[in-house]
Amino acid sequence: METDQTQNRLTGAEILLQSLVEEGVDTVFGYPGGQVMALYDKLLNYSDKLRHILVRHEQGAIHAAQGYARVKNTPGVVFVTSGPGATNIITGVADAMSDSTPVVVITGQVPSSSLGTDAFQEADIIGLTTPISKWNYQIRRAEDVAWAVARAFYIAGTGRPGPVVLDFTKDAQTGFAEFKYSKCDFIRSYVPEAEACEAELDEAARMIDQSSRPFVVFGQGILMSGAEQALMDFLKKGDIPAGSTLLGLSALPSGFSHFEGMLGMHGNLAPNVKTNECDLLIAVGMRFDNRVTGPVSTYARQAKVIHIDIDASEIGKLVPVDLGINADARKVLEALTAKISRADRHEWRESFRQVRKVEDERVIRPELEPETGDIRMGEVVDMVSQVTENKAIVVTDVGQNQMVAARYSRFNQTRSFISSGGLGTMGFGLPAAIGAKIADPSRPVCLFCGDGGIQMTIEELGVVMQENVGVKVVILNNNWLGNVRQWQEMFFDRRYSATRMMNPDYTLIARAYGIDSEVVDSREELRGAVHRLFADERARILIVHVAEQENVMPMIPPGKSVNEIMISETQWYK
Amino acid sequence: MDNTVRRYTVVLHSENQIGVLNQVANIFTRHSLNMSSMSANASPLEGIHTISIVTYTVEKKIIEVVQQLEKKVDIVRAFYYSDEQTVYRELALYKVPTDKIIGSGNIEDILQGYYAKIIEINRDFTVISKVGTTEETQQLYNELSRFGVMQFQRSGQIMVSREKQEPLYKYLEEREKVKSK
Repeated sequence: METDQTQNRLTGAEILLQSLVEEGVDTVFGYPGGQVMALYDKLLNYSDKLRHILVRHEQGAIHAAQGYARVKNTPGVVFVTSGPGATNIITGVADAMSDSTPVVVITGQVPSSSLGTDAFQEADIIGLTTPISKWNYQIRRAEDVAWAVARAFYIAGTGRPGPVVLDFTKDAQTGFAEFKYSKCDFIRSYVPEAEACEAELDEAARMIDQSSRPFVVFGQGILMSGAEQALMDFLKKGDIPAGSTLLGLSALPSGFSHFEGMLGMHGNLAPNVKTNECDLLIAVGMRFDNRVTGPVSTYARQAKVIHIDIDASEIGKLVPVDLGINADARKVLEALTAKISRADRHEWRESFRQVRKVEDERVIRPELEPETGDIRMGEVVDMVSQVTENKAIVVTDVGQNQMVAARYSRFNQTRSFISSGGLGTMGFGLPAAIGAKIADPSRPVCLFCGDGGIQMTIEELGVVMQENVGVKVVILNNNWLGNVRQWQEMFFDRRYSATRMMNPDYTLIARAYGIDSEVVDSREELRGAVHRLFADERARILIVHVAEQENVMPMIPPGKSVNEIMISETQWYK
Repeated sequence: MDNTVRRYTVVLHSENQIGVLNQVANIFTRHSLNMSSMSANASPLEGIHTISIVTYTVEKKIIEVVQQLEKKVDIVRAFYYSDEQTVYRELALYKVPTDKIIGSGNIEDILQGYYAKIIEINRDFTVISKVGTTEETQQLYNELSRFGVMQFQRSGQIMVSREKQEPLYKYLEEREKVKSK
């Protein structure tokens, strides 16, 4: 420890590292550079406490931290330098904001005396991240480091979580200050969580008891508040069916009696159709994303709406509510379960079965059990679920791979689905999978990605190699940017503009990184190959040549209501 | 909720941090709202700043803006008001050539009529100040134009509400009680 001998003080860089240790941080994803030299220098002394993962591009660092945070439910931490290092994390900050992922990013910055002078590698990262971060702060003095870190962790992880950016000037890193750490648990201008009042809960319980066709739509708020069990108890007591948003997946086990599947554009038929048939819509920890609702003018207009969310600004933002409860999902669900009457709504629940049967016959079975033709993406996802016995953490990139992985993965454990939902960031997958595996090495982590997305952050295979991260990568290769191609086919008169993709030999790339790989061309090889994928703890890449022009179905075309669903390119449901 | 575009005043109280105004401006930008007047000043409470912004929009949008402002960590509270709910004023300063207004003979009457007053006078120019609404300060500007207004500026609008409202210090006291729990 380098100390200012006369006064027993530490440098700002060391205070930052000590503060991270105080916050329980054990892993940092980062990339060094000119304005974080002092920080990285001190980091060497902390190698027993802080594992630093050297990424290959700063965007990889923040997506890895996001994957880590989503598995651990604690903030992921990122170190990058100023200027280009800092601007390279912007996409991830916006992604974390959109998906409420707690991350704390420390960016280097030029000395405070040079701020605003267009110094080498200076970028106004506070200005750049203000609209896309939950909070940001420029640390300009060593004395402020511990205070800022404590606030950063409190803000990132409480209430509706989100990304925090600390911009750390070089002189604050090298300056000396006394180190005294106290965790932050109060900021007068910040109320992370409001309490539901008794009258609201009573009113909600009354509305639920009076409803004959209630339907729960839930999102990631369930995972973030640890409300999985509370939700199951609530659904069982009220005998209420439930649908999940993309990010809510795995909060309920796939086989749970009252779980009816995924909502939204490529969601399951029943939860979408029934949204427009229920008489009471109970939304919990979700924000009515337009990929879930379609046009709000036709969304659940027949139903009364209760919206439970920890973020007051979400209530009534998009869907008008009859009752808004601004509080933590778990607490509200526990209170409501105690208040509602035990009910039998089997007729209403049975009506979901009939819709599901249509989807099973018309969409799911042809996707999962085709007898001829090219390999379908769904078969691959289904095979992974079979082989891993639904135990894997499934990470996705963005596009068709994501929708198919979401539709056909099965889960029996919470926090098992990691995907870029709100921002839809291609290139998210590989680094997020690396972060997820580092967060929980005991569980298999399987990334599904397309041939487009993998190439956006393929450089992170270097991390897999260097850190021995045992991720399983499944490239669903169709030689197209599949999702855009699907839209071009369906809505742009098959005018395939810039979507055909020439791909490299992924096996050679894998070999260059010392990673084993295998190519699957035919259905017969699939099962064996997926077994080999999970046969040991080492990283492995499986390249599956899937049908080149497969479309993800069902699909609610853009601009259509949740009950106007295409089940094939030419047929509508009903 | 109707879709009439009205004049609204957003008032928010924030911690005195660098960049708060940027945070506020970002939220207005995101909603494509123009700030037609803005005033940012220290409040009587230590460390708290008060910002008033006038904008024209529909009620649904102003509610969204206020909720998203209040969500910001550094913003303590945010409110919105329509004109009927507020008493509001702005300050205007007019610099006019001294010889012209002395020569006019009726400057006293004009100033009295507008409740305006002279706050500085010298051989070259006279500074007149007036407190009022934008319309009122504009009327005086029009009146003084014939003398040739050398310089003119009006402040951002400030307001108090006509409604009974919990004073900010009380809210902060309540917050401090939460802390001590």
